[in-house]
This record gives sequence, C-alpha cells and structure tokens, in this order.
Amino acid sequence: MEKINENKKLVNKIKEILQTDPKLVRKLEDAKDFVIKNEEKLRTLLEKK
Amino acid sequence: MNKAAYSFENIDEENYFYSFVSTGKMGTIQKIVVFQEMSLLLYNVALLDYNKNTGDLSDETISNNQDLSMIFATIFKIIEDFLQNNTHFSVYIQANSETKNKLYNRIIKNNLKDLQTKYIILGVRENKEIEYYLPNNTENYTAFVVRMMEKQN
Repeated sequence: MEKINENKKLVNKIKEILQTDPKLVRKLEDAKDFVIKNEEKLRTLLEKK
Repeated sequence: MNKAAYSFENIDEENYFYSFVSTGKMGTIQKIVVFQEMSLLLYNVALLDYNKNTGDLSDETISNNQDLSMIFATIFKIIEDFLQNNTHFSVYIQANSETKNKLYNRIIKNNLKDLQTKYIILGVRENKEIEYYLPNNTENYTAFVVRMMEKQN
C-alpha cells in the first residue's frame, strides 16, 4: 500500500515537472517542431519496411 | 541486446512512466524513464533522476554512479518493452549531452546486428537530414527514431 501511494506521488511529480520545467518543455517542443517539419519523410521511412 | 541490465517497473501505464534503481559507487539512485507523445504515433524518451530526499527530478543530474553501461542497457530494455507493447508506436531518442549522445551512438552501433532484426532504425544527422541508420557513418547521429518491424508472415 505504501509503495502504491509512493508511486502515485512520484507519478504526479513527474507529470508536474514535465509540464513546468522550462528545459524539459523546450526540449520536447524543439523535438516536436523537428518532427512536424519532417513528418512526411519520417512517415515514408518508417512505413517503407 | 543481452547486456546486463537493472530490473524495471512500469509505474504508470497510462502515461508510460518506468522506474529502475541504479546501484553504484555513489549509492542507489532512482531513475525514471518517460515517453512523451509528440505526433505521428511518435514518442520522445527522457531519462530523469529522482532524489527521494529532496524530491528533485532532473534530466541533467550527473550521478557518477560508475554504471553507465548498465543504465543504458536498462533504457534500451525499457524502450524494447514500450515498443513491444505498442507495436505501432515509434520512439524518438535524443541525448541532452554530447557524452550521452556518443553512448547512444556506440550502443546502437555495437548492437546493430541484433537491433536490425527487430527494428527500423533512423538516424538524424547534424544537418537534420534523416536516413536509415548507416553503421559506417563517420559522424555521430544527433538523434534516432526506432520502430518495431512489421512481423513477416
């Protein structure tokens, strides 16, 4: 039970940090931007095989 | 990838959060691996260190626990678990430091034979060009995209 509660607390903390840490937010935004710009190429390469 | 790795648990299936404990020179450190949705069924993977005493979570901690190869073997096992459970997803891997990037490149290169039997691996060059992973590429890739191959009948 204690472990479940600990995990729940940790999960909430992770969610919070992913949304609020400026470096993590920017890293994800940059990666998203790259993916959006290269969407077609990625789709083609990933579906070809 | 049959390298020694830490055991891990999926602590939140809905959000794809995994956890494992690194044990080394500096003691035990809880590591968190998260998969964040981007687009195209593509997920970004991030590694965080969790300090239970301070409650801090950071992707920039240098823990110096002298177990890097075990940590990276575990990350790849977690990615494998994630992709096996979500066969239509792809994972975007980009290190947040040059040292970690070199390690990702080395691990993929050293395990390519095994990896290429199961995964499609794309490499992103410094100039942002994307291509199928080339083992004889002289420069390190800056990011990777990995997806399970379709099962052949």
